[in-house]
Amino acid sequence: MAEMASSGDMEDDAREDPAAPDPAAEERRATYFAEQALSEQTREHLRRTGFVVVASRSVPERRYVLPKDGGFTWLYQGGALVALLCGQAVGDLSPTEALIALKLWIEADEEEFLQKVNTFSLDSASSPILRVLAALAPPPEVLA
Amino acid sequence: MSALGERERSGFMGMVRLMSVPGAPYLVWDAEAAARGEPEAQVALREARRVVVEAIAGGETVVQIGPDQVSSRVEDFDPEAGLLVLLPRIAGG
Repeated sequence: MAEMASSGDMEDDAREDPAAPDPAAEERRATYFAEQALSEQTREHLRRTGFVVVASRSVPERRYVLPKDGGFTWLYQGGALVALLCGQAVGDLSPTEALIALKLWIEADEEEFLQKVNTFSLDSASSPILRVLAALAPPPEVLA
Repeated sequence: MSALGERERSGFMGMVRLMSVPGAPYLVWDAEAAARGEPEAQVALREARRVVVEAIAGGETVVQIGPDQVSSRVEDFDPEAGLLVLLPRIAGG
């Protein structure tokens, strides 16, 4: 067998019930994975703003803005908010790891990512509730 | 820091993060030791290869995280790839 390391194996297992969730170990695991999957610049941006910005590989000026605590992915084109995307990574993942999973998806297969999420385009025909949600978009400096 | 972390920092460990599996475990292998013919390392490498190849064949998405921390989809197992990630399914909300 390949060496399999769960969050419990990777860290100190000296707990009363090894099967019980260990938030501290899960947080360390998420931090470790973030260090592997996100650049220092991206991690600093995440700490400062609460968002990760992913540049599209297929469409210039397209940016995906991922919130650290889940919720909508905000899609910008040329600096303008054009759509809200609703989709979450499925599984036993912390919010940070779920965010990273979405980032990896967008980078690796943007087309498939867009097929999997629900897209709510913002235009003149948008529903009032979408326009209200759009008002909650991240501030422009997040894209900087 | 765990032994896994210390070994990974030494730069010769391969890893695949199984984000689509409950518990999202890592599989780790020592590519250099496997190349030297160490049996345990070879078993670990074979198991990692089997998991990745079967995942890809089953339609799952595996990515490699490059040195610039940008991911790219892979279609085969490379023991020297560094960090691979078996991505979780995405559910539209």
